[in-house]
Amino acid sequence: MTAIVVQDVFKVFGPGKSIDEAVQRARKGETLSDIAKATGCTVAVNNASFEIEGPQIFVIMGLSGSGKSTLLRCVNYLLEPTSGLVKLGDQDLGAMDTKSLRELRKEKTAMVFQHFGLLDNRDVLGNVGFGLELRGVSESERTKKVKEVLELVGLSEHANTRIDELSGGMQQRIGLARALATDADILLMDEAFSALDPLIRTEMQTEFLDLQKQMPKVVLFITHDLGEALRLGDRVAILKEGAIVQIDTPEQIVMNPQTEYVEAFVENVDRSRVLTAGAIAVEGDEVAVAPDLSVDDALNAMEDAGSSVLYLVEDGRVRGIVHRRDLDRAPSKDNGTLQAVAADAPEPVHANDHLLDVIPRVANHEIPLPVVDDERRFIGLLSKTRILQAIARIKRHD
Amino acid sequence: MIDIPLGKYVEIGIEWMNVHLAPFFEAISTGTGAAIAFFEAILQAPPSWMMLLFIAALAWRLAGYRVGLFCLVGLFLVDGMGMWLQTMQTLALVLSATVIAVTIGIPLGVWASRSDIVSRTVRPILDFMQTMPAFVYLIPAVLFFRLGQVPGVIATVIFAMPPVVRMTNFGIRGVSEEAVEAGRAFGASASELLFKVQLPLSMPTILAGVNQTIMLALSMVVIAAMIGAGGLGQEVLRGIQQLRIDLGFESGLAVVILAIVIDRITQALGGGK
Repeated sequence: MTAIVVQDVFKVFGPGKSIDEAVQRARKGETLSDIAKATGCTVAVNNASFEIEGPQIFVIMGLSGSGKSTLLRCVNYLLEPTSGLVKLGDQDLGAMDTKSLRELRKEKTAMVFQHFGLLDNRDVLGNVGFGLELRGVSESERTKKVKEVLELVGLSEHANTRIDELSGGMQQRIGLARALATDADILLMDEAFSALDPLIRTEMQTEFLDLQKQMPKVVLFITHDLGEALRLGDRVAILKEGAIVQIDTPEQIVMNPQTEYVEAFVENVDRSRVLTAGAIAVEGDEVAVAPDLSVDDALNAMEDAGSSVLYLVEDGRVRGIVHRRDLDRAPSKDNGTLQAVAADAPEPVHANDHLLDVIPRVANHEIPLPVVDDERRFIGLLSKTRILQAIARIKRHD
Repeated sequence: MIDIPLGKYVEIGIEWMNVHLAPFFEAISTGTGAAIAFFEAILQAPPSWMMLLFIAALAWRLAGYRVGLFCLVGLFLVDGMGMWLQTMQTLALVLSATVIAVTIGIPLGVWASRSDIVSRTVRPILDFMQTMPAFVYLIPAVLFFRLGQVPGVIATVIFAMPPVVRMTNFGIRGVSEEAVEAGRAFGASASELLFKVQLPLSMPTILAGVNQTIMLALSMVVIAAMIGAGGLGQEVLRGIQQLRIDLGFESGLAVVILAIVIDRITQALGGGK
């Protein structure tokens, strides 16, 4: 079941009588400033649609004023959309009354705030257990759960500390812990790391990615920082003036920006941090040969591919490597197979590794390295040239 | 010049109310009287030395040894000057007036914080209540409740209530929006939001308002001696009327000591220094 459906959502602020007109005009594609002039209304979310299937981090990225926080609040109906459909699981939020919306917020969603939104009068325990308290969970059960979650965010020592004694990074860990404590499937994070110092922010991002691996949730993450969006997101939606201009994987956003707006955004991104080996690997069919190939055929294959090496691939797995110079020393050119002269293949590059992490290894090898997927299947080759092309934004010529 | 007999109309209005709303005023009078009797009974039950030690210990615990020591010495002096009974009477009046003012004032402040209309309506009324010369309140109090402690306390309630209403309104409006939103995001209902988020977070501000209300109540209770509320005010009044410097000084000093004691203890309650 699709976890979150947002369909044709508009959110308009302004004088009640002109709101419908503003939506009509926005549907026709008028610019927001024209609409504001004609109706006095601000269109904060302009026909936004997206779906999130299952556990993943879905990032909505936009500059301030792009309506991203408003859009986020439409998802748990803290703000009711002016028109459009919001569904969490099979529940249509527009059809629910206030009371069942409250129940939904208690059970299904949890939220993390930019400035943490903690209750200063309570200690850490009281804050992390807040969601459970509202749900009516008994104190002893609450304490047990809170201790578990504090362990997860690395603050188990601080259960009885006052909030104002904690640093910003620690406070946001508490904010995260409060959200995790409710075991909600859906996590709404509103600029959760934006108020933190750069170093702490990076640290929190890393920890958050680890957490997400440990217990995957449906995360809707809002940020104005493209670097953060590309680092955290499984998918990224770029928001401009309330409208979503592109939804894609980070790699696609960087490699194939669909509008000039997105292009301008990604121009200065450090591409080696975003692109993965898998995304830019060159198909290696020409140099991937079966281990029982004859030496003659191998020589031909090398000539055809213009390569001085061949990878021996069997059942999708890389079994070894054969160099041109070794073929000359092969015992018998006529009936020997490659296995006799094969050497161990260099350790393959993992498809999900970022370029930044694989560059040192690729640089140290004369030959292109094999790239393998999660199941260690051979999917292609990664050469120095290819990395340079990708970073220099040269499209693949194949 | 045109003659505008506004005073006459007010008098007619008050007389009308006196006749037609008698049961209402009767109920208020009975309730207030009971509150005063309750506090007087508690404060006067133990012997002065016991009460004195208790207050000093309370101050010590809440506000540190300096305040505790001051209470001990100050109240000992009050007792020594023979003002103990009057001081306890005054304290009973202050406590009754404060309890009533807070009971009305905090909900009113909460209401004002949730509605701009209420807030805009209440503000000028509060301004009016605070800027009127204190003893003007004695007139309607006397007209509706005659002489004695009850009209004294009622005039005091009116005079002393504005700060707690204002500060409650101000405090709740000042609670961080994100904290309130966090409450809503985790499914809090309106009342849960009020009791679990807004009131606890604005408590320091509200208590500062309560402190001000108490101090205003003390100043008014002394003035209310003019309509027979008794206590230290009555001694001050006698000092003036009979030109007795000794009595005037002693009762005045007792008021000051009582003021400092109450102020320090309630400030410490509010988390101040």
